[in-house]
Amino acid sequence: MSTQETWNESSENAVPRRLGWRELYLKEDWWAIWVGIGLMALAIALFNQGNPLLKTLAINPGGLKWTSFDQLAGHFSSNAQTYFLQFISWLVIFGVSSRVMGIKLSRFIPSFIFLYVLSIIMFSIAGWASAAKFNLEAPLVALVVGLVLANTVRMPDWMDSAFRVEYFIKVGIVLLGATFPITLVLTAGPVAILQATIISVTTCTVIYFVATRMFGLDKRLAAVIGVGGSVCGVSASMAIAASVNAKKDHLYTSVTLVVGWALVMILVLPFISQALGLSAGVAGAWVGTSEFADAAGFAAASAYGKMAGNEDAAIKAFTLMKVIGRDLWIGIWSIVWALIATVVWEKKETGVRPDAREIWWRFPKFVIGFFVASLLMTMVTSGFSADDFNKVVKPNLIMPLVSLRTWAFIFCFLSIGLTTRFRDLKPVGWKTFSAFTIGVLMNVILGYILSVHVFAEHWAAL
Amino acid sequence: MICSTCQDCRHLIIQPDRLEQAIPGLNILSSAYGCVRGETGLCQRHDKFTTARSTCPDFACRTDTSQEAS
Repeated sequence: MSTQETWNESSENAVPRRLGWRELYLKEDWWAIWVGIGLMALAIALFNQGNPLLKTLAINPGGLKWTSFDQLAGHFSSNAQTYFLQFISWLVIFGVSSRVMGIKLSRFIPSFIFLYVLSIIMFSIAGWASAAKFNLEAPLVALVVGLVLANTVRMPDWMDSAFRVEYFIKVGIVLLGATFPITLVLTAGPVAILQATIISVTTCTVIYFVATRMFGLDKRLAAVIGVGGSVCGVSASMAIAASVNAKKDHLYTSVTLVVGWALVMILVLPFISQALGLSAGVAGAWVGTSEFADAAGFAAASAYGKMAGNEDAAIKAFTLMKVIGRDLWIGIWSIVWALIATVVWEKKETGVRPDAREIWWRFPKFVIGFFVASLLMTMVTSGFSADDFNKVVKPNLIMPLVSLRTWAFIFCFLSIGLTTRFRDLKPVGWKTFSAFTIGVLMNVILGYILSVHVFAEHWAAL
Repeated sequence: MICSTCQDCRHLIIQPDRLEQAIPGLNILSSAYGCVRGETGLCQRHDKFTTARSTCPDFACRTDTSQEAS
Protein backbone atom coordinates (compact mmCIF):
# COMPACT_ATOMS: atom_id res chain seq x y z
CA MET A 1 0.00 0.00 0.00
CA SER A 2 1.38 3.41 -0.91
CA THR A 3 1.51 6.40 1.35
CA GLN A 4 -1.21 8.12 -0.59
CA GLU A 5 -3.56 5.18 -0.23
CA THR A 6 -2.92 5.13 3.47
CA TRP A 7 -4.34 8.60 3.96
CA ASN A 8 -6.68 8.80 1.03
CA GLU A 9 -10.19 9.73 2.08
CA SER A 10 -11.65 7.08 -0.15
CA SER A 11 -9.71 4.33 1.57
CA GLU A 12 -11.89 3.97 4.63
CA ASN A 13 -10.71 0.45 5.23
CA ALA A 14 -7.06 1.19 4.62
CA VAL A 15 -4.74 0.09 7.36
CA PRO A 16 -3.02 3.13 8.83
CA ARG A 17 0.56 2.13 9.52
CA ARG A 18 2.57 3.65 12.33
CA LEU A 19 4.19 6.72 10.87
CA GLY A 20 7.70 6.39 12.28
CA TRP A 21 10.16 8.09 9.95
CA ARG A 22 7.35 8.71 7.43
CA GLU A 23 6.30 11.51 9.75
CA LEU A 24 9.07 13.47 8.04
CA TYR A 25 6.91 13.81 4.93
CA LEU A 26 3.42 13.14 6.21
CA LYS A 27 3.15 15.77 8.96
CA GLU A 28 2.85 19.45 8.16
CA ASP A 29 5.27 20.41 10.97
CA TRP A 30 8.10 18.76 9.07
CA TRP A 31 6.96 20.24 5.76
CA ALA A 32 7.00 23.66 7.41
CA ILE A 33 10.64 23.02 8.28
CA TRP A 34 11.56 21.80 4.78
CA VAL A 35 9.79 24.76 3.14
CA GLY A 36 11.04 27.41 5.59
CA ILE A 37 14.65 26.24 5.77
CA GLY A 38 14.64 25.51 2.03
CA LEU A 39 13.57 29.06 1.20
CA MET A 40 16.12 30.39 3.61
CA ALA A 41 18.94 28.29 2.13
CA LEU A 42 17.92 29.46 -1.35
CA ALA A 43 17.91 33.07 -0.17
CA ILE A 44 21.41 32.71 1.31
CA ALA A 45 22.76 31.00 -1.83
CA LEU A 46 21.31 33.68 -4.14
CA PHE A 47 22.52 36.44 -1.81
CA ASN A 48 26.06 35.06 -1.92
CA GLN A 49 25.92 35.00 -5.75
CA GLY A 50 24.50 38.53 -5.86
CA ASN A 51 21.42 37.13 -7.63
CA PRO A 52 18.28 39.25 -6.96
CA LEU A 53 15.78 36.51 -7.98
CA LEU A 54 14.28 35.89 -4.54
CA LYS A 55 14.22 39.59 -3.72
CA THR A 56 12.23 40.13 -6.92
CA LEU A 57 9.89 37.20 -6.26
CA ALA A 58 9.19 38.33 -2.69
CA ILE A 59 7.15 41.23 -4.02
CA ASN A 60 3.90 42.32 -2.34
CA PRO A 61 1.84 45.51 -2.65
CA GLY A 62 1.57 45.95 1.15
CA GLY A 63 4.20 48.67 1.33
CA LEU A 64 3.06 50.56 -1.76
CA LYS A 65 1.31 53.46 0.04
CA TRP A 66 -0.81 54.07 -3.04
CA THR A 67 -3.13 57.04 -3.21
CA SER A 68 -5.01 56.31 -6.46
CA PHE A 69 -6.31 53.21 -8.23
CA ASP A 70 -4.25 54.19 -11.26
CA GLN A 71 -1.11 53.93 -9.16
CA LEU A 72 -2.19 50.51 -7.87
CA ALA A 73 -3.09 49.30 -11.37
CA GLY A 74 0.25 50.58 -12.65
CA HIS A 75 2.08 48.54 -10.01
CA PHE A 76 0.31 45.33 -11.05
CA SER A 77 0.66 45.89 -14.78
CA SER A 78 4.38 46.55 -14.52
CA ASN A 79 4.93 43.55 -12.22
CA ALA A 80 2.42 41.10 -13.74
CA GLN A 81 5.09 38.57 -14.73
CA THR A 82 6.69 38.66 -11.30
CA TYR A 83 3.36 38.09 -9.56
CA PHE A 84 2.62 35.21 -11.92
CA LEU A 85 5.98 33.60 -11.17
CA GLN A 86 5.45 34.14 -7.48
CA PHE A 87 2.01 32.53 -7.64
CA ILE A 88 3.43 29.50 -9.49
CA SER A 89 6.19 29.19 -6.88
CA TRP A 90 3.75 29.22 -3.95
CA LEU A 91 1.42 26.84 -5.79
CA VAL A 92 4.23 24.36 -6.39
CA ILE A 93 5.58 24.61 -2.83
CA PHE A 94 2.25 24.25 -1.04
CA GLY A 95 0.61 22.08 -3.71
CA VAL A 96 3.31 19.41 -3.84
CA SER A 97 3.68 19.24 -0.06
CA SER A 98 -0.08 19.08 0.46
CA ARG A 99 -0.37 16.32 -2.16
CA VAL A 100 2.28 14.27 -0.39
CA MET A 101 0.33 14.70 2.84
CA GLY A 102 -2.74 13.30 1.07
CA ILE A 103 -4.69 16.36 -0.09
CA LYS A 104 -6.10 16.11 -3.61
CA LEU A 105 -4.63 18.59 -6.09
CA SER A 106 -7.95 18.81 -7.95
CA ARG A 107 -9.31 20.47 -4.79
CA PHE A 108 -6.19 22.28 -3.67
CA ILE A 109 -5.38 24.16 -6.89
CA PRO A 110 -8.68 26.04 -7.48
CA SER A 111 -8.93 26.80 -3.80
CA PHE A 112 -5.37 28.12 -3.64
CA ILE A 113 -5.93 30.33 -6.69
CA PHE A 114 -8.88 31.88 -4.82
CA LEU A 115 -6.73 32.31 -1.68
CA TYR A 116 -3.87 33.92 -3.60
CA VAL A 117 -6.11 36.42 -5.40
CA LEU A 118 -7.81 37.31 -2.11
CA SER A 119 -4.37 37.75 -0.50
CA ILE A 120 -3.36 40.20 -3.23
CA ILE A 121 -6.51 42.20 -2.47
CA MET A 122 -5.74 42.16 1.29
CA PHE A 123 -2.19 43.38 0.68
CA SER A 124 -3.54 46.08 -1.63
CA ILE A 125 -5.94 47.32 1.05
CA ALA A 126 -3.11 47.38 3.60
CA GLY A 127 -0.94 49.22 1.07
CA TRP A 128 -3.40 52.10 0.75
CA ALA A 129 -1.80 55.31 2.04
CA SER A 130 -4.72 55.98 4.41
CA ALA A 131 -5.14 52.38 5.65
CA ALA A 132 -3.49 53.01 9.01
CA LYS A 133 -5.83 55.94 9.67
CA PHE A 134 -8.78 53.53 9.58
CA ASN A 135 -6.94 50.70 11.39
CA LEU A 136 -7.11 48.62 8.21
CA GLU A 137 -4.27 46.36 9.31
CA ALA A 138 -3.83 43.40 6.96
CA PRO A 139 -4.36 40.67 9.62
CA LEU A 140 -7.62 42.17 10.86
CA VAL A 141 -8.93 42.92 7.36
CA ALA A 142 -8.05 39.40 6.18
CA LEU A 143 -9.77 37.84 9.17
CA VAL A 144 -12.95 39.90 8.82
CA VAL A 145 -13.18 39.46 5.03
CA GLY A 146 -12.66 35.70 5.44
CA LEU A 147 -15.31 35.51 8.16
CA VAL A 148 -17.85 37.46 6.10
CA LEU A 149 -17.25 35.31 3.01
CA ALA A 150 -17.42 32.02 4.95
CA ASN A 151 -20.67 32.96 6.64
CA THR A 152 -22.52 34.70 3.83
CA VAL A 153 -21.39 32.84 0.70
CA ARG A 154 -21.91 29.09 0.61
CA MET A 155 -18.46 27.94 -0.42
CA PRO A 156 -18.04 24.18 -0.92
CA ASP A 157 -16.35 22.33 1.95
CA TRP A 158 -13.65 20.95 -0.38
CA MET A 159 -12.24 24.48 -0.65
CA ASP A 160 -10.87 23.99 2.86
CA SER A 161 -8.18 21.89 1.11
CA ALA A 162 -6.05 25.01 0.56
CA PHE A 163 -7.16 26.95 3.66
CA ARG A 164 -4.46 25.30 5.80
CA VAL A 165 -4.31 27.70 8.75
CA GLU A 166 -1.78 25.69 10.74
CA TYR A 167 0.49 24.82 7.83
CA PHE A 168 0.81 28.46 6.75
CA ILE A 169 1.46 29.74 10.26
CA LYS A 170 4.11 27.07 10.83
CA VAL A 171 5.92 28.03 7.60
CA GLY A 172 5.68 31.67 8.70
CA ILE A 173 7.13 30.88 12.13
CA VAL A 174 10.09 28.98 10.64
CA LEU A 175 10.77 31.95 8.34
CA LEU A 176 10.43 34.21 11.37
CA GLY A 177 13.38 32.34 12.88
CA ALA A 178 15.56 33.82 10.12
CA THR A 179 15.03 37.30 11.57
CA PHE A 180 15.42 36.19 15.18
CA PRO A 181 19.02 36.26 16.48
CA ILE A 182 19.77 33.05 18.38
CA THR A 183 21.23 35.14 21.20
CA LEU A 184 17.80 36.70 21.72
CA VAL A 185 16.15 33.28 21.83
CA LEU A 186 18.65 32.09 24.42
CA THR A 187 18.48 35.19 26.63
CA ALA A 188 14.74 35.82 26.43
CA GLY A 189 13.64 32.18 26.27
CA PRO A 190 13.93 31.33 29.99
CA VAL A 191 11.72 34.25 31.04
CA ALA A 192 9.16 33.21 28.42
CA ILE A 193 9.18 29.62 29.67
CA LEU A 194 8.81 30.80 33.29
CA GLN A 195 5.86 33.05 32.43
CA ALA A 196 4.29 30.32 30.28
CA THR A 197 4.65 27.80 33.09
CA ILE A 198 2.87 30.08 35.57
CA ILE A 199 0.02 30.64 33.11
CA SER A 200 -0.26 27.06 31.93
CA VAL A 201 -0.39 25.49 35.40
CA THR A 202 -2.64 28.16 36.93
CA THR A 203 -5.22 28.37 34.16
CA CYS A 204 -5.45 24.64 33.55
CA THR A 205 -5.93 23.98 37.28
CA VAL A 206 -8.51 26.74 37.62
CA ILE A 207 -10.60 25.59 34.64
CA TYR A 208 -10.47 21.96 35.77
CA PHE A 209 -11.54 22.64 39.35
CA VAL A 210 -14.17 25.22 38.42
CA ALA A 211 -15.63 22.84 35.82
CA THR A 212 -15.69 19.77 38.07
CA ARG A 213 -16.21 21.20 41.57
CA MET A 214 -18.34 24.28 40.87
CA PHE A 215 -20.32 23.10 37.85
CA GLY A 216 -20.13 19.31 38.24
CA LEU A 217 -18.98 18.78 34.65
CA ASP A 218 -17.41 15.58 33.36
CA LYS A 219 -13.76 15.36 34.38
CA ARG A 220 -12.64 14.44 30.87
CA LEU A 221 -14.39 17.44 29.40
CA ALA A 222 -12.82 19.57 32.15
CA ALA A 223 -9.33 18.27 31.27
CA VAL A 224 -9.86 18.89 27.54
CA ILE A 225 -11.08 22.48 27.92
CA GLY A 226 -8.58 23.12 30.74
CA VAL A 227 -5.59 22.38 28.53
CA GLY A 228 -7.27 23.99 25.52
CA GLY A 229 -7.65 27.23 27.48
CA SER A 230 -4.23 27.20 29.08
CA VAL A 231 -1.88 25.95 26.38
CA CYS A 232 -2.67 25.78 22.72
CA GLY A 233 -6.36 25.70 21.97
CA VAL A 234 -7.74 22.96 19.75
CA SER A 235 -4.38 21.29 19.11
CA ALA A 236 -3.77 20.84 22.83
CA SER A 237 -7.38 19.72 23.35
CA MET A 238 -6.90 17.07 20.68
CA ALA A 239 -3.76 15.78 22.40
CA ILE A 240 -5.41 15.64 25.82
CA ALA A 241 -8.65 14.17 24.45
CA ALA A 242 -6.66 11.13 23.35
CA SER A 243 -4.77 10.95 26.66
CA VAL A 244 -7.97 10.77 28.72
CA ASN A 245 -10.19 9.02 26.13
CA ALA A 246 -12.53 11.99 25.94
CA LYS A 247 -15.71 11.82 23.89
CA LYS A 248 -15.94 13.36 20.46
CA ASP A 249 -18.40 15.91 21.87
CA HIS A 250 -15.81 17.05 24.42
CA LEU A 251 -13.37 17.92 21.67
CA TYR A 252 -16.11 19.47 19.56
CA THR A 253 -17.09 21.64 22.54
CA SER A 254 -13.51 22.75 22.96
CA VAL A 255 -13.34 23.68 19.26
CA THR A 256 -16.34 26.00 19.67
CA LEU A 257 -15.03 27.63 22.85
CA VAL A 258 -11.50 28.12 21.54
CA VAL A 259 -12.60 29.47 18.16
CA GLY A 260 -15.18 31.81 19.69
CA TRP A 261 -12.87 33.32 22.29
CA ALA A 262 -9.85 33.37 19.97
CA LEU A 263 -11.78 35.49 17.47
CA VAL A 264 -12.92 37.87 20.20
CA MET A 265 -9.33 38.21 21.40
CA ILE A 266 -7.96 38.90 17.90
CA LEU A 267 -10.41 41.75 17.47
CA VAL A 268 -10.24 43.13 21.02
CA LEU A 269 -6.69 42.74 22.38
CA PRO A 270 -4.96 45.03 19.84
CA PHE A 271 -7.38 47.87 20.60
CA ILE A 272 -7.14 47.41 24.38
CA SER A 273 -3.35 47.40 24.07
CA GLN A 274 -3.61 50.61 22.05
CA ALA A 275 -5.90 52.21 24.64
CA LEU A 276 -3.47 51.24 27.42
CA GLY A 277 -0.53 52.57 25.42
CA LEU A 278 1.45 49.34 25.77
CA SER A 279 4.77 49.00 24.03
CA ALA A 280 4.79 46.51 21.14
CA GLY A 281 6.96 44.00 23.02
CA VAL A 282 4.85 44.08 26.19
CA ALA A 283 1.62 43.75 24.18
CA GLY A 284 3.10 40.85 22.20
CA ALA A 285 3.88 39.01 25.44
CA TRP A 286 0.40 39.77 26.78
CA VAL A 287 -1.21 38.42 23.61
CA GLY A 288 1.08 35.39 23.92
CA THR A 289 -0.28 34.61 27.39
CA SER A 290 -3.91 35.43 26.55
CA GLU A 291 -4.52 33.85 23.14
CA PHE A 292 -5.02 30.09 22.73
CA ALA A 293 -3.89 29.38 19.20
CA ASP A 294 -0.67 30.32 17.43
CA ALA A 295 -2.46 31.54 14.30
CA ALA A 296 -4.98 33.68 16.19
CA GLY A 297 -2.27 35.12 18.41
CA PHE A 298 -0.08 36.03 15.45
CA ALA A 299 -3.00 37.90 13.92
CA ALA A 300 -3.52 39.89 17.12
CA ALA A 301 0.20 40.52 17.78
CA SER A 302 0.90 41.44 14.18
CA ALA A 303 -2.10 43.80 14.06
CA TYR A 304 -1.04 45.62 17.22
CA GLY A 305 2.61 45.67 16.13
CA LYS A 306 1.53 47.51 12.97
CA MET A 307 -0.63 49.91 15.00
CA ALA A 308 2.29 50.63 17.36
CA GLY A 309 4.74 50.95 14.49
CA ASN A 310 6.92 48.07 15.68
CA GLU A 311 5.52 44.81 14.34
CA ASP A 312 8.86 43.09 14.77
CA ALA A 313 8.92 43.51 18.57
CA ALA A 314 5.28 42.42 19.00
CA ILE A 315 5.79 39.29 16.90
CA LYS A 316 9.07 38.42 18.63
CA ALA A 317 7.57 38.74 22.11
CA PHE A 318 4.51 36.74 21.06
CA THR A 319 6.64 33.99 19.54
CA LEU A 320 8.84 33.66 22.60
CA MET A 321 5.84 33.60 24.92
CA LYS A 322 3.44 31.40 22.98
CA VAL A 323 5.42 29.22 20.59
CA ILE A 324 8.52 28.64 22.69
CA GLY A 325 6.90 28.98 26.13
CA ARG A 326 3.34 27.69 26.18
CA ASP A 327 3.34 25.22 23.29
CA LEU A 328 6.04 23.14 24.99
CA TRP A 329 3.43 22.26 27.60
CA ILE A 330 1.32 20.19 25.20
CA GLY A 331 3.43 17.05 25.59
CA ILE A 332 3.83 17.53 29.33
CA TRP A 333 0.09 17.88 29.90
CA SER A 334 -0.52 14.84 27.69
CA ILE A 335 1.60 12.72 30.02
CA VAL A 336 0.16 14.25 33.19
CA TRP A 337 -3.47 13.76 32.13
CA ALA A 338 -2.80 10.28 30.78
CA LEU A 339 -1.30 9.41 34.18
CA ILE A 340 -4.28 10.87 36.00
CA ALA A 341 -6.68 9.02 33.69
CA THR A 342 -4.96 5.67 34.08
CA VAL A 343 -3.85 5.82 37.71
CA VAL A 344 -6.58 7.90 39.37
CA TRP A 345 -9.60 7.45 37.06
CA GLU A 346 -10.77 4.21 35.48
CA LYS A 347 -7.76 2.21 34.43
CA LYS A 348 -9.76 -0.43 32.58
CA GLU A 349 -11.54 2.09 30.45
CA THR A 350 -8.40 3.81 29.27
CA GLY A 351 -6.39 0.66 28.71
CA VAL A 352 -3.13 2.30 27.64
CA ARG A 353 -0.19 3.21 29.77
CA PRO A 354 1.26 6.69 29.52
CA ASP A 355 4.54 6.77 27.66
CA ALA A 356 7.18 9.42 28.36
CA ARG A 357 7.95 9.43 24.65
CA GLU A 358 4.62 11.22 24.15
CA ILE A 359 6.47 14.47 24.97
CA TRP A 360 8.57 14.03 21.85
CA TRP A 361 5.82 12.50 19.70
CA ARG A 362 3.54 15.44 20.41
CA PHE A 363 6.25 18.08 20.34
CA PRO A 364 5.35 20.75 17.73
CA LYS A 365 8.35 19.91 15.54
CA PHE A 366 8.19 23.10 13.47
CA VAL A 367 9.71 24.86 16.52
CA ILE A 368 12.93 23.00 15.66
CA GLY A 369 12.84 24.73 12.28
CA PHE A 370 12.48 28.08 14.03
CA PHE A 371 15.63 27.38 16.10
CA VAL A 372 17.60 26.09 13.09
CA ALA A 373 16.63 29.15 11.01
CA SER A 374 17.64 31.46 13.85
CA LEU A 375 20.97 29.71 14.38
CA LEU A 376 21.75 29.50 10.65
CA MET A 377 21.01 33.16 9.93
CA THR A 378 22.95 34.30 13.01
CA MET A 379 25.97 32.35 11.75
CA VAL A 380 25.64 33.65 8.19
CA THR A 381 25.32 37.29 9.21
CA SER A 382 27.78 37.33 12.11
CA GLY A 383 30.70 38.27 9.85
CA PHE A 384 29.12 41.54 8.70
CA SER A 385 29.61 44.88 10.39
CA ALA A 386 26.49 46.68 11.62
CA ASP A 387 26.80 49.11 8.73
CA ASP A 388 27.11 46.36 6.11
CA PHE A 389 24.27 44.48 7.72
CA ASN A 390 21.91 47.45 7.40
CA LYS A 391 23.04 48.46 3.92
CA VAL A 392 23.60 45.07 2.26
CA VAL A 393 22.28 42.12 4.25
CA LYS A 394 19.01 43.57 5.44
CA PRO A 395 17.61 44.75 2.09
CA ASN A 396 18.94 41.84 0.02
CA LEU A 397 18.60 38.86 2.35
CA ILE A 398 16.48 39.62 5.42
CA MET A 399 13.71 41.74 3.89
CA PRO A 400 12.85 39.25 1.09
CA LEU A 401 12.46 36.57 3.78
CA VAL A 402 10.28 38.96 5.81
CA SER A 403 8.09 39.49 2.74
CA LEU A 404 7.75 35.73 2.17
CA ARG A 405 6.84 35.34 5.85
CA THR A 406 4.20 38.04 5.43
CA TRP A 407 2.72 36.08 2.53
CA ALA A 408 2.52 32.93 4.67
CA PHE A 409 0.85 34.93 7.44
CA ILE A 410 -1.72 36.53 5.14
CA PHE A 411 -2.60 33.08 3.72
CA CYS A 412 -3.06 31.98 7.32
CA PHE A 413 -5.16 34.95 8.51
CA LEU A 414 -7.47 34.65 5.51
CA SER A 415 -7.76 30.91 6.10
CA ILE A 416 -8.84 31.45 9.71
CA GLY A 417 -11.78 33.51 8.50
CA LEU A 418 -12.57 31.30 5.51
CA THR A 419 -12.74 28.11 7.61
CA THR A 420 -14.76 29.64 10.44
CA ARG A 421 -18.34 28.75 9.60
CA PHE A 422 -20.40 29.51 12.67
CA ARG A 423 -23.13 27.12 11.52
CA ASP A 424 -20.65 24.23 11.88
CA LEU A 425 -19.84 24.97 15.51
CA LYS A 426 -21.52 23.08 18.32
CA PRO A 427 -23.76 24.88 20.80
CA VAL A 428 -22.15 24.90 24.25
CA GLY A 429 -23.92 24.76 27.62
CA TRP A 430 -23.63 27.73 29.97
CA LYS A 431 -21.70 25.77 32.61
CA THR A 432 -18.99 24.73 30.15
CA PHE A 433 -18.93 28.21 28.69
CA SER A 434 -18.58 29.75 32.18
CA ALA A 435 -15.78 27.41 33.27
CA PHE A 436 -13.81 28.14 30.09
CA THR A 437 -14.50 31.87 30.33
CA ILE A 438 -13.11 31.96 33.86
CA GLY A 439 -9.95 30.43 32.39
CA VAL A 440 -9.91 33.07 29.67
CA LEU A 441 -10.13 35.82 32.30
CA MET A 442 -7.33 34.12 34.25
CA ASN A 443 -5.10 34.14 31.15
CA VAL A 444 -5.87 37.78 30.40
CA ILE A 445 -5.52 39.12 33.97
CA LEU A 446 -2.53 37.03 35.02
CA GLY A 447 -0.95 37.54 31.60
CA TYR A 448 -1.40 41.29 31.96
CA ILE A 449 0.19 41.36 35.43
CA LEU A 450 3.15 39.25 34.32
CA SER A 451 3.71 41.04 30.99
CA VAL A 452 3.00 44.63 32.02
CA HIS A 453 4.34 44.62 35.58
CA VAL A 454 6.46 41.62 36.60
CA PHE A 455 8.47 41.14 33.39
CA ALA A 456 7.70 44.47 31.68
CA GLU A 457 11.32 45.58 31.45
CA HIS A 458 12.25 42.34 29.77
CA TRP A 459 9.50 42.49 27.11
CA ALA A 460 9.80 46.23 26.48
CA ALA A 461 13.49 45.78 25.65
CA LEU A 462 12.79 43.50 22.66
CA MET B 1 0.34 -8.28 10.36
CA ILE B 2 -0.96 -8.96 13.84
CA CYS B 3 -4.20 -7.16 14.61
CA SER B 4 -4.13 -6.06 18.21
CA THR B 5 -4.32 -2.33 18.89
CA CYS B 6 -6.74 0.40 17.85
CA GLN B 7 -4.24 1.22 15.09
CA ASP B 8 -5.54 -1.83 13.21
CA CYS B 9 -9.17 -1.47 14.23
CA ARG B 10 -11.73 -0.54 11.60
CA HIS B 11 -13.60 1.62 14.10
CA LEU B 12 -10.72 4.09 14.39
CA ILE B 13 -10.60 7.17 12.15
CA ILE B 14 -6.95 8.15 12.04
CA GLN B 15 -6.59 9.59 8.53
CA PRO B 16 -6.27 13.38 8.89
CA ASP B 17 -8.73 14.32 6.15
CA ARG B 18 -11.42 12.01 7.52
CA LEU B 19 -10.77 13.24 11.04
CA GLU B 20 -11.26 16.86 9.98
CA GLN B 21 -14.53 15.86 8.33
CA ALA B 22 -15.68 14.01 11.43
CA ILE B 23 -15.08 16.97 13.74
CA PRO B 24 -16.23 20.17 12.02
CA GLY B 25 -14.13 23.16 12.96
CA LEU B 26 -11.04 21.11 13.81
CA ASN B 27 -9.16 22.78 10.97
CA ILE B 28 -10.04 26.37 11.94
CA LEU B 29 -7.27 26.96 14.45
CA SER B 30 -5.73 23.52 14.41
CA SER B 31 -4.99 20.66 12.06
CA ALA B 32 -5.20 16.90 11.98
CA TYR B 33 -1.98 16.95 9.91
CA GLY B 34 0.15 18.34 12.75
CA CYS B 35 2.62 16.53 15.00
CA VAL B 36 0.71 17.51 18.15
CA ARG B 37 -2.04 15.03 17.30
CA GLY B 38 0.52 12.24 17.37
CA GLU B 39 -1.03 8.96 16.29
CA THR B 40 -4.45 9.45 17.75
CA GLY B 41 -7.88 9.20 16.23
CA LEU B 42 -11.61 9.00 16.74
CA CYS B 43 -13.15 5.67 17.71
CA GLN B 44 -16.50 5.48 15.93
CA ARG B 45 -17.58 2.51 18.05
CA HIS B 46 -17.33 4.40 21.35
CA ASP B 47 -17.40 7.95 19.98
CA LYS B 48 -14.18 8.65 21.85
CA PHE B 49 -10.82 10.13 21.03
CA THR B 50 -8.07 7.62 21.65
CA THR B 51 -4.49 6.72 20.87
CA ALA B 52 -3.58 4.16 18.22
CA ARG B 53 -1.75 2.19 20.93
CA SER B 54 -4.93 1.54 22.89
CA THR B 55 -6.67 -1.80 23.10
CA CYS B 56 -10.33 -2.63 23.65
CA PRO B 57 -12.66 -5.67 23.81
CA ASP B 58 -14.63 -4.38 20.80
CA PHE B 59 -11.61 -4.53 18.53
CA ALA B 60 -12.45 -5.34 14.91
CA CYS B 61 -9.59 -5.90 12.52
CA ARG B 62 -9.74 -3.86 9.32
CA THR B 63 -11.13 -5.91 6.46
CA ASP B 64 -8.20 -5.47 4.12
CA THR B 65 -5.57 -6.37 6.69
CA SER B 66 -5.37 -9.93 5.37
CA GLN B 67 -4.86 -8.60 1.83
CA GLU B 68 -2.12 -6.37 3.13
CA ALA B 69 -0.45 -9.31 4.83
CA SER B 70 -0.62 -11.45 1.74
